[in-house]
This record gives sequence, C-alpha cells and structure tokens, in this order.
Amino acid sequence: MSQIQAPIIETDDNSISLPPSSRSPFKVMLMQFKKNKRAMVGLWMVIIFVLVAIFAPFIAPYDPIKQNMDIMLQPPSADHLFGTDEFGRDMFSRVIYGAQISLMVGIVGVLISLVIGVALGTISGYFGGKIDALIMRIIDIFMAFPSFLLALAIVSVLGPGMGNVMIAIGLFSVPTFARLSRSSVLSVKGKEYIEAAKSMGATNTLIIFKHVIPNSIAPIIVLSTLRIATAILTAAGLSFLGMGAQPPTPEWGAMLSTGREYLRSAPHVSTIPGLAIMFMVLSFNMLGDGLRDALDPRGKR
Amino acid sequence: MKRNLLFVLFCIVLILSACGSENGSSSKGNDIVVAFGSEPITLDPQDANDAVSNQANVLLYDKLVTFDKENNVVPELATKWEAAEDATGITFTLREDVTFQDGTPFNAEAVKINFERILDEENKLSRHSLYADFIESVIVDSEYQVTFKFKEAFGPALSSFAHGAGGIISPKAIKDNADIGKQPVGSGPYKLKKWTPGTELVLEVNPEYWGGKKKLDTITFKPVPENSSRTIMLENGEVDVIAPIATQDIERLKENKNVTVNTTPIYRTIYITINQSNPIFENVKVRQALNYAVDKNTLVDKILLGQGKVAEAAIGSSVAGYSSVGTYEYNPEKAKELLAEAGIEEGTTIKLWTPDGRYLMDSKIAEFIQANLQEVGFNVEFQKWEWSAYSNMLDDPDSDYDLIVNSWGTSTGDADWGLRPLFTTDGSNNYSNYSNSEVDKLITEGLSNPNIEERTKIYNKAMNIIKDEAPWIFLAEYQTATGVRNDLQGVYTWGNEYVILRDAERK
Repeated sequence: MSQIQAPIIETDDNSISLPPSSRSPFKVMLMQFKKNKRAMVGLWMVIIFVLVAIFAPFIAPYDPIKQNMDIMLQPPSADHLFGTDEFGRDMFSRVIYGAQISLMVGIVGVLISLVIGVALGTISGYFGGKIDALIMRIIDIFMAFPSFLLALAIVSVLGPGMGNVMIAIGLFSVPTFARLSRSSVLSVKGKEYIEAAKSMGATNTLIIFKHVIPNSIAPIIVLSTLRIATAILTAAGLSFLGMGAQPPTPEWGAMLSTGREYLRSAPHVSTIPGLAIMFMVLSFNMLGDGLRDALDPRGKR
Repeated sequence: MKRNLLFVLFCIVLILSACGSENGSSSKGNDIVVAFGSEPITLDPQDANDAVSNQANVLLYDKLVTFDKENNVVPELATKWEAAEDATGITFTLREDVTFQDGTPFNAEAVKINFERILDEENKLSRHSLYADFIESVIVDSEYQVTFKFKEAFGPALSSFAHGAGGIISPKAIKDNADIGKQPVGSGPYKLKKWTPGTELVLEVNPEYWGGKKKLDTITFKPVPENSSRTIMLENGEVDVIAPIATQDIERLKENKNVTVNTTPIYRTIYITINQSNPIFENVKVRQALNYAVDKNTLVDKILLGQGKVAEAAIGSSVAGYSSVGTYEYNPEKAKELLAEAGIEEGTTIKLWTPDGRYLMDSKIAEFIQANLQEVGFNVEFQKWEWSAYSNMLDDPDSDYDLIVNSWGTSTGDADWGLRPLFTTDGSNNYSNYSNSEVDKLITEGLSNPNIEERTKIYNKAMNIIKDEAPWIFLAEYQTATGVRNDLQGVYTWGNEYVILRDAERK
C-alpha cells in the first residue's frame, strides 16, 4: 500500500500560476491525465472490459455452461477461439462471461468498503477524541491480519459463494478506506472554509456532506480504482481455493484452479483465465496510477 | 612426490567409491525400486491401516489364507479349512513346514498367540475391530489345527483372514514385546534389511522361505508424494513400479514403450446418495428418473478416462458375492416422462454436494452430473466441500442434504460389508435413509450362510430390489492404475487397492 500517499486537492491552492478562471481543478486533472499514455491505455482497457461484460450475451458464441464431452480439452481453433475445457465448454465464452463476474465482484466489493470505510473514517477524523480512538483501534486490529487471510476467514464463516465473497472483500478493504479518509478529513478539517461554515451555524451533518467529504474525496477515488484490482485478484484467489464461485460458474479463478490439472496436456485451460485476470488487474492498476498522478498537486508541472 | 602419490591415491579411492555407489543405486538386476505416495507407517500387520504399510507387510508376513490375482481366497499358511454349517465357526488345518524369520516354528499355538494379541483391546491395535467384532475365542485343536468360534453367525469370515491384518507374527517377537512396527518378524518371502524413515525402506529376500526362494534380491520402497514426480521417475527408469498414477498422466504413460499401465477393478464404487427423507425424492419414479438422466458411459470414458467402469450393481464386480443386476440406460426423455408422472415441476431446485479431491475425480463427476440433471429440468445448486467439513456434515443427523457424492470401498472384499452398512434400515452408513424389510431380511440371511454360491444368489435378490428402488444414482466402480516397467512381471493389485509384489520378477 506504499504507493498510496495521501494526495490532496487544495482548491484554494495559489501555486497554480495561470489565472484560476481559465483552468478549473477538474480541467487541470483531465489534462494531466490525458498526457499520461499509460493511464490512457489503462482507461481504454477498463472500458473494453466493461463493454465486454455488459454485452457478454451478444459477444459469446456459445453457452458458457453447456457441456459437450466429445470436444473436451481441444486447443484453440477457429471454432473455439480459446479452445475448450475439460467438459468441452467453449473457453472464449467462459472468459467473456467471467469478465462480468470479476467486474461485479470488484465493483460491489469496493462499494461496500467505500461506504463503510469512508463513513467510519470521516466520523473518526471529524469528531476526534474518544470516538476516533475507539474506531481507529478497531481498525488497527483489522489491519493486523493479512488481508487475504481475513477475507478467507470471513468466507469460511459465511460459507462459499459469490455473494459471500463480495461481502468478505468489502469488509477486508474497510480498514484501508477508513484510515485514508480519516487522514484526508483531518487535513481538511482545519481549513478556513470549515471554520467559516461553523461560525455561520451550519450543522455537523451539513458540514460533513457539503464541505468535508467533497474536499477529501480525491484520494479515495484513487484508492477505489486501485482496490478494484486487489478485489478482483482476491476474489479469483478465493475461487481458486474453492471458496468462491461454485461450478459451473465461469469464474476466472475457479477456471484457473481446475485447469491446473491439465497443465501438461492442455495448457490453454489454465493460462487463458490467468491472462484474463492479469490484464484486468493491470488495467485497473494503470488507471489508478494515472489518476493518482493527475490528482497529485505535487505532480503539476 | 609424496603429495603426488597421495593425490593419485585419493583419485583412485574417489573413482572406486563412485563405482560402488553406482552399482548400489542402480535399479537393474534383481533389485527393484517402487514408488508410492507415502511411506509405510508401521510394519505391524495388526496395526496397519494404510495401503502402503500393507503393501510392505504382505511381503514380510504370511496369512492363514490369502487372495489370488482375481481376489479369490486361496490357501497360504493353512492348507484347508472348514466352516461350521451354521456359520458360527471355522477350522483351519495348517502347514507343517513353516518357520519364522527368527527360526521359531509355526504352529497352531502361534496362530492363537497372534489372534489373542489383536483381540485384546488393551493392545490398542488399529485393526482390533476387524476380528473382535465376530471372533469369540481361538482354540488349539492339535499342533497343526486351530478353530475360531464366532460370537454369532458370520458368513463372510474367511475373507477377513485373508485381509492384511491377518499376517502372522513370530510368537517369540510377541512374547519378547519387541517393537514389531519397526522390527518385523514374519514368515514371509522378504525380510526387513534397512529402513531410513522418509527416504527408503529396503526389504531383502528370505532365502529359507517355505514356498521357495523368490527371484528378486531386494525391493526398495520410496515415498514420492508428488504425482507428477512419480510418473517422471517411472519414465526415466529410476523406479520400476509406481502407484497411484494421476488420471491425466495415464494416456502419456500408455504411449511409453518401456512402461505398462495395468488397470485393475477395485472394490471401491462411486455413487450419489439420494436422501429419501426429502419429500421430492419419496416417489420412486423421481429416483429412477435421476438414474435415467445421468450419462454413465460418458462419465467413465471422458472423466475417469478408463479408471473405472459403469456400475452394474451396488457393489464392485471384484467383491465376493457380486453379480450384475444391470444398469439404468441413459435416457433423458424417459427421465422427463417419469418426472412429469411424479408431478415434479420443471425448475425444481435440488442441492448436489460433493467432496473435492477425496475420491478420484469426485467433484468433476458431480459437475458433470449437475449438467445432466439440469438437462431434464432440475435447477441444481452445486457445492464443493472440503473433506473434513463434508464428513462432519455426513455425521450430523440434522444435515439437510438432497444429493451427495459418496464412495464405498468394501474393505473386507465381501458383499456383506458392501450392503449391510449402506442399505439395512439401521445401517451405520445408510445416508439415503433407505428402508425395505425384504432387503433387511435377505442381508441377514446372507450373513448367516457360509456358502458363497448360495450367498451370491441371496445378494443378487437384494441388489435387484435395491436397483429398482434406486436409493442411489448408481455411477461407476473404480479401477486403479499401476505403472510397471516392461522388464518386470508378476506385479498385480488386489481389489482393496494393495499393490502386490510377492511374485514380482525380472523377465
């Protein structure tokens, strides 16, 4: 997690030399982002994955769970672009439907941790004192577990299944989100506009939702993007261990796991889902890195 | 000058020692090396629970009777035997020319000492219950005749004596309280030479064996847990025999000209237990429909890849008392008809649970069946279980399963143990909650009859009823594969999956 510093957008930063009227912070960010080739590649890859997931039923040439034992373990060919697996199912269709599942897990998992983590972090940072101490100590306890083990433990308790994997992944990212949002709330809290709002009699709720969260959200966006990659990887890992998607769901991690047995005779069964996981994680990481650079005030040249 | 001489001497010693070790580690000549998944746990036959220990013990010890290649009971230390009419006892006449490897003569007293050792609960031997369940007492009739009295009628007794646990230990070793698990003394064709735990176990030929000296000089057991390493070692000629072979390696080994892959039917079957307590499965038509819906031939050909054949009865074909009662053909249309007659709506949700990796291809088989059952209109919820959780689930009387993948390895090799625990109303492993008074009666009748031909007929009746009532989805009986180098012969496998090396020799 060392790559995540806490970049902060300071809206009233006067280090920007050009007249602020012509360059809003958002436009500055966009320009920074567009200049970054790697980030743009990441963005396009993410867009492609999302489109593939949405239009999976139109793209996939076969039913991803339809078995046909007569054509099992065939290498890639014109009929079956990525070959077939040990039940004669079309790997291309399975990989395409797998994108749906992986994206879904990544996004839902991160949404869960985003909501809970930001709520806890903001409360903690804004109010301080005993509440802060209590929440942060609990978060510390969670941070003490290796995150994958934590997810594994949660799924073991809840039982295998994709729904439970999403919950586990949601919970295991909560500490990271809580810490980050607390620290960025702390840096916003002391600003003059918060004091101004307070002096005008605004309620805490209003200040939090109207001023604190919007001004501390930038690093959270970066973290979310990067955490989607982690979530996808973790979900694949849990499925690999048999704790996630149950057959015949075309989940990439589960496909990788069953394909292992055929590594010598039919290597495509495990390598293709492996590559799919790799590219999806890579695309989110490149996008996240690009966003971080674009949102980082120190990066403005 | 002196230093040069020393150097030359050093070189000579080095070369000589290199030659020496080369001869020692070569697996050619009359020494063979066998690689199994693990090493023996104990060389005490009465305490050995695992296949590898038993594979070593079969070489070290003789039993009263043993199995031949076809799993028939044949004489070993006993020349003949006679079962009581009412199956409440058995009398063995013993060989008179046998001595143990420590010089102690073999006689009826030795048999008595051995069986009293295992019957004594205090000794905490893991095979205790195999004999304690039915033997009441051991009586020495004369120097070379011994009689076992049973607690009640027990027809399948004979095959229990052929079990590995029936290996006869030297009575002297028992009296001396020797550590038999590490220092075995039997009367078998091979004796222990050296055991380096974790590395190898070396057995050497017993020159005074009563049945004539065997052809091999030594047999070395090597533990090789990794499936693919075992295969590669066999391909390289580093070892002469391997078992088990991973399913996906079989095709490749079959193409190798230096290696023969032997597949042997074993007692173990795989099937799906249908929980009759669930109202959906109360109707026999539904259970039959499930059987018609599953494509057993494809399952055996494409998933087990020849390591199995379609089950034609509730027990494996090598089990004593077996007879074929036929199989349900693959007929999804008929399955749909039966389901419609039984009033099962399309889309009815049922659960299919399987262990993962406990039995050969277990979860693959289940996944295949899931697709089969979905084709006839069920919505099948599939779940893979880790074994310990699965066995807890099986033991829990409240667990709410529908269809579960199960396997039974009739360990005695006799139909009684393949049917009584699974199909009698109060059977210990009757997970289908199956109950039929006719079947109960037939199985008890089989138990109290010592004649195997009559018992086969009785069990045939019982298995016919069981087939028609379909408390299971009958799937397949397993076959086990052993890889053997071509210059070796006489290696075979018993139905209980033990690889037998007693008659192995170079061609």
